[in-house]
Amino acid sequence: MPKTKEAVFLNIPYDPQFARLYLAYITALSAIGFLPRATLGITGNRRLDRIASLIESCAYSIHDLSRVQLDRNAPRTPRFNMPFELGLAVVWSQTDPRHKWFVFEAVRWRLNKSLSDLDGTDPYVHDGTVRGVMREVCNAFVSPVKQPTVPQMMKMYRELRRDQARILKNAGAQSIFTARVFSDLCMAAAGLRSKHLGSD
Amino acid sequence: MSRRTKLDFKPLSLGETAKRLGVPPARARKILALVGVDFDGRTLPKVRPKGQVRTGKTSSRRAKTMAR
Repeated sequence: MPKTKEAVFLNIPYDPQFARLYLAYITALSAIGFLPRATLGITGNRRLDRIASLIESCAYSIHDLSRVQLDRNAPRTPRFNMPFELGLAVVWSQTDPRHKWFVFEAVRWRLNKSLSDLDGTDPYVHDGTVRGVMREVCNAFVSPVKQPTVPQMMKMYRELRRDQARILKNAGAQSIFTARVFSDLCMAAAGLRSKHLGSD
Repeated sequence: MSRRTKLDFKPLSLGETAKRLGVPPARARKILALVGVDFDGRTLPKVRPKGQVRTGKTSSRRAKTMAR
């Protein structure tokens, strides 16, 4: 997979409780000018290779480690995918220093306890809110053209949320955590960037 | 050291975005119409909801008022 500067690997939990923040990340990253990429739709026994290949194709990666709770289904376990994929990105950044990784969390200081190997790395703390995600994405990145403001991002978010039902209906999907819906949401968010921030 | 990373690329055009996302042009056009823009990022005029028919009654009345 060729490496692209605009691509950002989005490593987040795929569950309904995270839906608002999932849309917030898509909106915020699109507003900055990124092309979000995710592991949605990657299945099968070559999944790990394809995830590694996807990380390698992105210049940046965002790892949200806020979901540390046990899930509801028995046997109750935490989700290890996010820290595991962060590990893949860290190893890749040592091979290719152009790759930059960023850790996002909901609770300040929790990372020191949940993943003390990252001591010395300051996570971007979004407080588990949509506005917090917008704020922290703006704190992490400076747009190459026009830096969007948080209110502009919030406006884009509200419109994307409003159009989400139609996007789901057109895709014939029940969940927003599918490959097609993800790409359609990214497309819509890119359109909203043009609408609210201009096409530069 | 700054925690902010300055990016050094230009955002992709909507056409290129659709291509990279693997969204076919017809589907991309439909999605963009939903958010109110075309492929060139131009804002589309708002479409009147179905069933709301413009009768012309108001405008002709206004025309008469203006003519007086």
